[in-house]
Amino acid sequence: MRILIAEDSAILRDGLVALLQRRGHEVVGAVPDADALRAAYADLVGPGGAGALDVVVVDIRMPPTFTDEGLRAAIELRAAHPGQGVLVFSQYVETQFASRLLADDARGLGYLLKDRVADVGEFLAALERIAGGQTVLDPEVVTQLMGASRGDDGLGRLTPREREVLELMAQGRSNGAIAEALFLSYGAVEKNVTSIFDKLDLPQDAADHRRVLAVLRYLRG
Amino acid sequence: MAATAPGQPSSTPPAPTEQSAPQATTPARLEPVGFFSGPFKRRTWSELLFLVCTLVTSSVGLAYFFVTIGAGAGFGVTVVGLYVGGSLVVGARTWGSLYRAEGRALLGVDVPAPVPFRRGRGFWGGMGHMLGDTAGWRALAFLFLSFVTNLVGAVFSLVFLAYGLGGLTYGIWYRWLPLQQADDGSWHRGAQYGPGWFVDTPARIWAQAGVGLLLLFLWPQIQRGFVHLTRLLIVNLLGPTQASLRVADLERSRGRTVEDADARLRRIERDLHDGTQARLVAVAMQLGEAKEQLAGASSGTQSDDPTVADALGLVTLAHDSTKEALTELREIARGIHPPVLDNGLAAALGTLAARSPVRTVVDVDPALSERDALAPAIEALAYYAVAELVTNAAKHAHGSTVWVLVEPAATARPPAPGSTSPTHFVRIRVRDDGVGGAAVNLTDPRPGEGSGLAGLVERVRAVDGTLDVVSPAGAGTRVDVLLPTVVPGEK
Repeated sequence: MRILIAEDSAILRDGLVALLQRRGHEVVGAVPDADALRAAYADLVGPGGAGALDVVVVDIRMPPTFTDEGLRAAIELRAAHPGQGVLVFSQYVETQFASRLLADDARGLGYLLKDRVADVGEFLAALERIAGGQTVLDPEVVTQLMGASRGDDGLGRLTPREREVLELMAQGRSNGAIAEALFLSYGAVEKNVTSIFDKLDLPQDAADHRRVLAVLRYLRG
Repeated sequence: MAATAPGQPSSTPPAPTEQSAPQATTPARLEPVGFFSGPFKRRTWSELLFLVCTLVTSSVGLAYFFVTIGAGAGFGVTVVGLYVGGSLVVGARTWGSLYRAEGRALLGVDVPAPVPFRRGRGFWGGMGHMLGDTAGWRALAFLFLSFVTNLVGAVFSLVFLAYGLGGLTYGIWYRWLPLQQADDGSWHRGAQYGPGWFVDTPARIWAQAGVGLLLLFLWPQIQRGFVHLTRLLIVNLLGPTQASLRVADLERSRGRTVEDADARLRRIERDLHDGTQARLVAVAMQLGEAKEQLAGASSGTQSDDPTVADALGLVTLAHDSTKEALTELREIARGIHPPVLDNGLAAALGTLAARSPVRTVVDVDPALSERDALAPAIEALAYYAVAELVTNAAKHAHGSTVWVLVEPAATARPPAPGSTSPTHFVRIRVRDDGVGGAAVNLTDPRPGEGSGLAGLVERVRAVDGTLDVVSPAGAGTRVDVLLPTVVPGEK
């Protein structure tokens, strides 16, 4: 994968670069703030040349104001280059940030806690999924979005088991992975998923990420 | 040797700006004026202008004084009379500002305005505040006393000046005086100081000029004395009292303490974020990689090398502990100061509501999300208040939902008398549909009992805010927190 990193902490930036390079990925740039990210992205991709980068990894909180410049840069970048894989990561998960990030097309987007870097294998898998156009959300993001939309009629009708399944779906897991995580049979998961779609009035679809989008659209609404 | 303790933040808190206690008055001492240079000093003439100006204002001011006393005493038996009297007392402040302006422009006495008048709550409260307005009464006293000093001062000053100038130039203009006949039948042209004693000989004319010169030089000295009396009155009756200055000073230092505490918490969170947290994430990442490599090594070689297995176990343990430490650290940092507050109260409360164990509906007035709508320390306090109250509701109310409403307060609550605190407020209302019946001893909470709420009450009071609890049994609990939009005592 060709990856561009924007992270203001030198320790973390260098560690991330070293990690990705050891795993055979090409880190084409590592910058310390949002302006440098814009410049580097323009240099690397050029006008209309989307696809030159697989994933852009962006820290939300960067100089100069240390608030949400990373997030704004990521949203801008996605608006100019729809479909560009972007992983936003941060020390905290904020509901409003998640809503802003997911307000548009959620394909190829990720929002993870920085902690997730610790599980190297899973982190790299998440990057692969983003590069492949899927949506990757931190379990904490999902919990918060579920919490924020608590009290909605549709969700209220779900059984606790269905809620669990929906949370895992929202993280972009396949039915097989959900079955494994919840110690259920594949068939039981399928049954739950069908029931969820029924209760939420959503048309069933085979593609994994479209399930996520459907769920997210529901959560946002 | 310049060793610094490890972990000590490199940046030191900004030293509080040294501010001398506000001066009650400009030094009110009688400044001497040179005897010979007096009449030619600009100051002398501006003092004369002051006396002439106040000749007019003083008489109107005295009339105001008598009307106020008369109206208050005469109609005081009726409510309307008391109200009119109270309004007139407060209105005397306007006279105070007029004289302060005159004094500043012409006498060089720079007296700060007294603490602004605060309307009381309700009809009787409002009347009480008006009738008890110290600054108004002091201004009234000034109107009476200054009338005497100004009138006498103006008379003396004008007489000395007129005689001085007149005498000095007598030799020129006496010839146009009408002819007068003395007792002995002789005709004279000039001032008559006694029977048959006219100032019309050269020696007497010269003497007259000498006396005029003397009076002219005495004039600034006399005038300065009277003006100084007025100046003393302005300083002592039209400025703020020592007690109110002390209150303002305490308020300022308290406000600074509140803001310093907030700034310090922000800095600690920033240091944690940029230093410790980033470093821990890097460590966790390296441990994660080490774990994967060891796992690969132990399974790849199929060896039963116990060292590799042991090492894998240890690294796994360290990896898990590090991740736990990161989670704990995140919660601690969030408790110290949630960084999302920099994106506005609405953004921060959104996350708070989503993480709340009970259904929490947050409604923040959009006007409050605008930049500088709330001072940072107030914003942090508002967040802390909502967090504390929502936690309490989730723990004790046993309700289904908590509603949080944050809006600009429509009616400004009258702050403590003598306070210089701001008039814009924000209201935080946290309401639940739980069991109610919450009995909270807010004035003197025992330690350990509702200590979270007690701490909140203390912090709210530190900015002159209020916290009211309405909790009828069986009908839910409503807590209203009213906070000023800026920290009192700070600009």
